[in-house]
Amino acid sequence: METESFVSLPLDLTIEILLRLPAKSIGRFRCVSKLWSTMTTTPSFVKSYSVHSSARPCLLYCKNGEEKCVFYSLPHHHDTEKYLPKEETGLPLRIITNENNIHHQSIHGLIPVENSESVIIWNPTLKQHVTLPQLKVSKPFISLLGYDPIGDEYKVLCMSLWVKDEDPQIFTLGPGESWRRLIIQDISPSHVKFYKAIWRCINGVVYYLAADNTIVSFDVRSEKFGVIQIPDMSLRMKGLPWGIKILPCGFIRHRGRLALFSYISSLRGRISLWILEDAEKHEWVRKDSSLPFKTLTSLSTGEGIFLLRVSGETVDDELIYLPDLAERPFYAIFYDLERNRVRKVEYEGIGEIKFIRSHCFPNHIESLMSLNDLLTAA
Amino acid sequence: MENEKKMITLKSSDDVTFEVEEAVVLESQFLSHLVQDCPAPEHKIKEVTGKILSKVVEYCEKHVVVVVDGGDSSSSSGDDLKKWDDKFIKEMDLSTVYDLIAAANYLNIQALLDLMCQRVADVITACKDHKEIRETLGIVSDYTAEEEAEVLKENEWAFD
Repeated sequence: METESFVSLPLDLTIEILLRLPAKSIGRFRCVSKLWSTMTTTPSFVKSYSVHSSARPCLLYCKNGEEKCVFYSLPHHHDTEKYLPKEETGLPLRIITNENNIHHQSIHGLIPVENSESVIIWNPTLKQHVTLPQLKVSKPFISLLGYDPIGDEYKVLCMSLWVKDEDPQIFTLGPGESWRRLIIQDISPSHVKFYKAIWRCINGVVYYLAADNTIVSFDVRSEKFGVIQIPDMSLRMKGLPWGIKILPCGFIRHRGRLALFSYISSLRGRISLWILEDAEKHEWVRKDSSLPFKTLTSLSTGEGIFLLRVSGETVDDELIYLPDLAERPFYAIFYDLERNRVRKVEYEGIGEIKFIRSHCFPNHIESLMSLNDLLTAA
Repeated sequence: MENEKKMITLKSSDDVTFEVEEAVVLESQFLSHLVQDCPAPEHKIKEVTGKILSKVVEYCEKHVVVVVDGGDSSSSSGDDLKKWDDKFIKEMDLSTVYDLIAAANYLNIQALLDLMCQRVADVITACKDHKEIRETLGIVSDYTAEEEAEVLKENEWAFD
């Protein structure tokens, strides 16, 4: 068997090679010949590519400029402790942080960014964005993006923050789709807790912290809601009178499950994770650890202190801690809770900007999902 | 304890023979089945040349030794193995890599297949544009000038 060239390799093996390429190399490959353009634009290739790139997520660091935002892809893992990223063209608009403290998130490579009028879906990999059609939801609203890995579908769930008796609207990303009013079958979900939009999409389920202090789950595939009682975090917070009602908390994925944590424990140099064992039985398991690094640190300029906050997790379930103020150079701390191991990566050349005006998407993956034909009629 | 290791002879398509320990053969799913099903002392592998088979044997021998010596495959032996793999592929030209991909696929040696596919992927990743990819992989373009301009525009995001 003599295989002298790339093109004489069996097709499944060349696909195997292409799936290992960074997205930009796929784009360049599409310009090589018609065959390779076709091969790398089929829905099945695009889907397999996302699955492969899920194994190598990065931290997408966005920075607002005058009228646009730029971004940097920062790898979670790097051979050296320092990494010099390249600035990429981002959105031709600024990402707005409003007082509702809405956390934007990267869901399977796409990022929903709403302005006050409409929902914008952004694919940083392809440098594409699309504004979804106007929707009939009272403003202000919030949009949560979910991805169903079985059906390979993205859906945007949109609801009003103030008008509680209004049904949520849903939009499936695909050609010829439009906003649909969600027919509530079983339970009427409580809306997103307005002043802290805490949400995550894990394994085809969107979880959000609701106004009634429960966690609402939304199954992206079946479009059904569920309610999960939160653990009583206040009971075990020694000396702290706050319950989750006013406790600043966040969601992460831990070992494939939803986990809840409080930022207050960070202040005390600890991490307590409440991991959702069984959503139907409302069962949570708690994991505690003293952090082997300082979470409160003085800025190198001496002007104040900053807190390292849990911002996400790696595929190996390390917690990612990011400074809440821009420290120069910008860095991330990766903490392995199980092995009590810490590593730090510095990202140089990002420039000086207050962290509060920028945005980090810790679990971003490269996606070849094109948004171009999204809004054309079926 | 039986200390004597069972040896197996592999013969390439061009009749080059390699005498290897049975453990080495077990790295390949295909050869494991072959050895089990057919207990002959010599096995002819018609699809692989001597040049490529020698590389396959070299790879499998290294990987068997490390797993056995390393016991619980501690991280230092894992690092050594990675260094060895890096050196192993660095010295190889692309046409050998393609042959090894085909051989690893045929013999069903997943780790070797992964290593070689990653090698080609790294070569493609290093190409700064489509012309360099064509040159490196020997692909002939079938785009007309207009079509190429169009596809370049569509994929503008991929160029720095």
